[in-house]
Amino acid sequence: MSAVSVVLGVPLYGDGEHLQEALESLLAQTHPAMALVLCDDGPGEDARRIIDAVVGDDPSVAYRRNDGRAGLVENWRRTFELAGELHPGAAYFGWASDHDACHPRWLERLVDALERAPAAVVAYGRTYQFDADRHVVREVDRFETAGLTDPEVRLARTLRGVRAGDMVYGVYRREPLARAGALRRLLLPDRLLLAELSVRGEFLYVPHALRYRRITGRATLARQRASLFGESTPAYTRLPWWAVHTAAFAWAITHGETAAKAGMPQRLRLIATHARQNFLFAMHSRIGRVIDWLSLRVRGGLARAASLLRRG
Amino acid sequence: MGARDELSSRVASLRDSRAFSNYQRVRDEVLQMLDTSSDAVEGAPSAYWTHELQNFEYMLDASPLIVENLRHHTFHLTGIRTYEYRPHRADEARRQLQAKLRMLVELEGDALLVPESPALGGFGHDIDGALYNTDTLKYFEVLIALERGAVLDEIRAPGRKLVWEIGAGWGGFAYQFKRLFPDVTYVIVDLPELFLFSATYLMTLFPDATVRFGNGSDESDDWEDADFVFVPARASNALHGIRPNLTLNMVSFQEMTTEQVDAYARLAWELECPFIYSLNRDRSRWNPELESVREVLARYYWVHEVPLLELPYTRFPELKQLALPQRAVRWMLSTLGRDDSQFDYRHVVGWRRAST
Repeated sequence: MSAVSVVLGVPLYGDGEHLQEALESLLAQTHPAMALVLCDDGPGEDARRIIDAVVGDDPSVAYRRNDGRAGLVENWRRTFELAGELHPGAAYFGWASDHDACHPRWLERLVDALERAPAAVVAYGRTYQFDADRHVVREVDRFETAGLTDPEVRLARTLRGVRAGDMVYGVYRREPLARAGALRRLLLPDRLLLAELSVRGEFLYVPHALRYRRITGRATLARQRASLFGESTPAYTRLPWWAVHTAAFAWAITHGETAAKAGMPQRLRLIATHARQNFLFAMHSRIGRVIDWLSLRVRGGLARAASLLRRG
Repeated sequence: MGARDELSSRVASLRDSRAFSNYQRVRDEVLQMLDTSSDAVEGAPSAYWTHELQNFEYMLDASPLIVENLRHHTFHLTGIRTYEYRPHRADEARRQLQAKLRMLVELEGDALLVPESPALGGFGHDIDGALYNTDTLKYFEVLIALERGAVLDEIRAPGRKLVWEIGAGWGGFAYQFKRLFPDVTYVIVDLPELFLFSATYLMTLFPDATVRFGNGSDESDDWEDADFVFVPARASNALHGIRPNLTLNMVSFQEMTTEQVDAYARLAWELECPFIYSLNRDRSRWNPELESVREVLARYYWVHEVPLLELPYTRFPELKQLALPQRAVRWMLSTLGRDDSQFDYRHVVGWRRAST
């Protein structure tokens, strides 16, 4: 095998119901210099058994199990860190899910796209969301910032249109990802990560890098509080997430690499853009959730009425 | 010259045509195939097909006039008749077809669009100087699904590729595919009688093509350089030794038994074919011998749906805007109605499983 240039980190959690499919699709990737890093956050031994059966003694796959429940964010961070320790020379990194599936050329096409576009920090592919019956319920909207050179424009567009839950499963240049703190310990950490990265470079959309995302339930803040942080949920997760994000973003771009590159007026403009767009997005989402709730109630009522009529 | 002489002269001339000569060669091969029996489960026609085959028995003794208009006789396989495309009844249907064509082009551009050839009685609505019919759009839709399913890039990659179609009907999709990807060996496995349509059509439309007829095992040695290979379903064991890059089935898995679909999917898996594509209903209301197409394919391939249009390939967009009450009633019916999704046509791409 040639030197590893891209590492896929797979944070594991749960009973591994769909792990076989996910692992097979990752092991079938055609990229010649790929390695897998699996971090198991428990709770049982199911994942380990499946890994042993599917992976065997493949030397390109590393497995670690956490001592206790770390929570999703910490497990994602550990996956990224472990990838760096085991393969420090790898220029690219991506998180892969333990219950989704990627086309065999998914990784090859994303890395190829990144290599052709030096200004890009992340590439992601066409994504279909599918349900328990394997029916596609929707195609994720296309989003990209390729060709946009102004960080402010990229940030505004990202905060308005990014589909963080899907795009986070892209392939990143490792260095800017590390500088953006991988995944921060907040609610909606994927959204914050992509906002920070948007300042650092462009996002690419690669239609023939195909990925299928299994939808297992509605993404709610309550669900995130329960799953992201392990045993204890930080108190700040009770604050409005959009305000916490803007504070974290402001801290990030006034410290470190970004701060060194951008002058104070530009940093202030970026923070203002973040605050405005994030707030608008949060309000828009809230209205959307109310409409969804009403729609569900109406449909549920109709279904109950139909059921009564049939019985009658 | 009288009518009788004119007819004789025309028939004599057609008898010397390339199309009729192709037909005669195909018929010889088909009769030879029919003489060879086998116990392969894939080869036995279902009750439905046994009946259908009787309807075009005349194709075993077709006159040059029939071969000249071969496409007019493919309605036995498709249900699509030339009458539906006559100019006097074309207006509304033509507009609908055009609207659907536009919807498909909006999805992925027109690079994969191949119109119906006028050869051998090719028919369709004339749109911008080219012929289009339900089949043309169906195949275009399939090509778009293969593109969106990220499969066609595999075919575009350098090197000779091999595509295996299970049940190719009159050869319409093979024609489009070969036009788009000339460096492909296209293997068709079908009931022998159907080669009277597909082989004659393809050999005539691609006069320089190298053609093979497989009728036994261990014959695949010289297939790689062939353009088309026709293998009777009962001799599908002849495929051992090839490695298809793509296996295809359109609208015939749903007519087979579970055992037959399983045998084909297993064979594709054994041949290490990385992708299998299916446009089928999971179940057909008229076929109690089939469990579910996707469930059977899933024994060997991870199956993934590729959504395109809300409309199945058999239907066309309604051009008249429905009134609000009508739309409300439809919405309520769809909300209250029973789940018929198992009877929907689905574009499905399967990725080969590591183990079964």
